[in-house]
Amino acid sequence: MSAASLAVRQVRYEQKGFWRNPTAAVFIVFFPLLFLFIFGNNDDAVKEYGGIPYHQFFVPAMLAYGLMNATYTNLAMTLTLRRENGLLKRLRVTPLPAWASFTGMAGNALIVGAAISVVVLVCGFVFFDLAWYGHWLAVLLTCAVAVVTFSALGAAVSTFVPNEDAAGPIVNIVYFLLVFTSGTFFPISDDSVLHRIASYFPIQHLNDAIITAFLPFGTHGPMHGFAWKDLGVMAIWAVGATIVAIRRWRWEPRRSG
Amino acid sequence: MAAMSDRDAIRVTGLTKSYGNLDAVRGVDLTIREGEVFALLGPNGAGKTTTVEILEGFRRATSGTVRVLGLDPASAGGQLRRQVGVVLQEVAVEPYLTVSEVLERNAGYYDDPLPVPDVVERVGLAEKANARIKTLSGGQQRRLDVALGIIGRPRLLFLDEPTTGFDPSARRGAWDLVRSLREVGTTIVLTTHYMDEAQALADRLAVIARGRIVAEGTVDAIGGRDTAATRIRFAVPTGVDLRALPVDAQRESAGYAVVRSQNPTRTLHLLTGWAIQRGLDLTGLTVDRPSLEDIYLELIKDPDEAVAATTAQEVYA
Repeated sequence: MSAASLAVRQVRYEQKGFWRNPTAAVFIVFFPLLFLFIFGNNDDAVKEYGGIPYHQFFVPAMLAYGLMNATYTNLAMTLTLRRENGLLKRLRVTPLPAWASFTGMAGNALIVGAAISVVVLVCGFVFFDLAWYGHWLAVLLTCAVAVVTFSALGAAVSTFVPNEDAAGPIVNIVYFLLVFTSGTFFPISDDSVLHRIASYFPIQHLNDAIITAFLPFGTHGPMHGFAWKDLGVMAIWAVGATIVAIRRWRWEPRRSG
Repeated sequence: MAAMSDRDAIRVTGLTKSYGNLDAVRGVDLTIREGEVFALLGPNGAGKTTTVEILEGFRRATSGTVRVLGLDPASAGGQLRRQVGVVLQEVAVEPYLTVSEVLERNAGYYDDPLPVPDVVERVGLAEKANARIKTLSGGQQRRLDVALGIIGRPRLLFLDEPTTGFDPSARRGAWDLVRSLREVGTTIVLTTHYMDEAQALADRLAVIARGRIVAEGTVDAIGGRDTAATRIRFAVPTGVDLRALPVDAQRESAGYAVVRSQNPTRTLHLLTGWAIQRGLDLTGLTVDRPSLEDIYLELIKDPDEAVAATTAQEVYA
């Protein structure tokens, strides 16, 4: 079997397994949509910011949240559980190359992320009057950097989880703290301490980058809306997370010592 | 493929493995011929799992040479994995796929896999072929693991305690499967805690204890089982002094006596002849040789502990 068809095959089986798993479907796919409608319909929320409607910030932020769920949460949980229940070890006794297996999991994350993004955007256009300024290149690049960065972070964090029971708390606690302090769900003032702290982490930068890609900067068109500095910070995190993941990688359960 | 022209599936010489100060394996030599079922027995912590995991390519040897199908398992990678099946102790399969789906998927990793429906049938999961794995019982998941081990038509199959937790009929099924694989020439390395399993399946076996192979041979001959003294046991008739017997007997518990003999035909003849002459009945008469389990327990005894036990016995006697 050629390398490409082997990888495509892996992705297909990963997809089957993913969509049949109710926990994954609810926490990863359904939550961003749920929050989109809960916070999106909050009458007390700020109506506009600098003359731009609130939804123009919030819908892209939910898109970013969906992408992080599909990559970071999904991979951190999947890799931890598979390592701890022996699936990764079992993989090593088959002739399937490691890269094909990772391609399967990452490809699955990408497809899930793309599916969430499309649904969030469609809902944004239909229900929340999201405006489109044609910065599609910036949107695509930001999403691509996000997928790589948060996939790498998922793999890196999975190496710190000591067992299956600890997976949920460890994977989610820092994530949710950062999601809340990074301005994903509500704006955080630029001169606050929270904002300063969150600025060292990648979530705030993903938010800023994706929101920038949806704002009417300068003229309309694909060459506008790039938040180069934020993309750069995410890229640094991607490199760091990849190094950590590779250095700390284990195929066998940590509980076995 | 010159290295693989000989008939040894596995050749290990001077294998050692240390974890820090702990010497888990302390010089194992082992040859397993192609086409045989070889059982590796040993208590937990004796180095059995470490040895097998080195053969499977999970761990690197500290020293010694290891050849599996002519290749070094630590570096052979895909070339070896295409020819080797492994059934690990713990069940590990994606819960949301069906039995057929995982088998189809894994079949695609090999050049010449067995047909999925055949494999499903052989491990007795035909009715569960389209069931999701999370709905299977523990025993059924274990059988699926076995199916994954053989789907690639392996030349060499590692079975790590394959029937632990099986009910008797599932166990027989697994044994039949092993025998049918052997018939088509598959080499099988089996680790097990069940003596009857080793006895039923293995052409040869080795006992590993304290990081070394302490005995190796056929089921009938291992540990001197073929030459060990025969044990004749009977209830001592009332009023009989053991010293009056024509053979050398030791008193055992509950009114029984035991005679150990290298020449059981003659010993039995003397003993029963003596009893018939006196009109005595030797009730509960049994003649046996040490079972595989007796031999095994003797072999794995720690020499230091054995000395300690003897001393203690003498003190309390």
